[in-house]
Amino acid sequence: MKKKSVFSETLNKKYKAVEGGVSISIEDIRKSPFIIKKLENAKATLKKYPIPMHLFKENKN
Amino acid sequence: MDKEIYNFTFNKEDATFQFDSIGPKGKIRKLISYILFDRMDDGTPVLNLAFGDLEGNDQNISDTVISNNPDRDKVLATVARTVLQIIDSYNKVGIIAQGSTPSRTRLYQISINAYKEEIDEYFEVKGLTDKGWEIFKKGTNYSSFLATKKV
Repeated sequence: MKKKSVFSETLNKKYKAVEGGVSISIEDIRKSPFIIKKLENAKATLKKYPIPMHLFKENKN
Repeated sequence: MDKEIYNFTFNKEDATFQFDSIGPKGKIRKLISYILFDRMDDGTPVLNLAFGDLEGNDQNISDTVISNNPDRDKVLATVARTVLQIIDSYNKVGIIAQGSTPSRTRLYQISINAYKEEIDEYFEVKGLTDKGWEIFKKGTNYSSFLATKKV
């Protein structure tokens, strides 16, 4: 059994999420022009400005 | 993040959430979807946060509609809650958020500012300026946001 993290326990104590149906399929979401445009924009952003791994390393120190 | 939120349902497998915003203009169904589209250099998956209204019998998604329901804070708190859910489910993940217009991006920024102390408990947030990514600072305008769980 997966051991629950402190984060998980805090989250579940504070908020109750209901797992259930969503009225649109993931296929329709992925085909949506809105989503396609969002993903294109996000890809273009990361191409121009790659994820700053050095910022994560700096934060850990 | 003890602010009031909407009850939502979610599909864990697809990382998709849905809830109804309710106000004088009626019920507006909202969709939040996190889609894998890239990986960091260390292999960490990067998801794009897409947030919009479901229209046309729930077949179309848009975020250009101005609903004017006076529940902006409750809606944004609900979105923030789903970020927690995703980070809890995936553990090591990056989430990119960009508004489709400058005013929508500004809303994300207002929301991050409002929850900054609570966010700092769980997340590292970076902001993007025209000079590149930096650690999120209040008072700076950003065009995109990147959230990861603190290790």
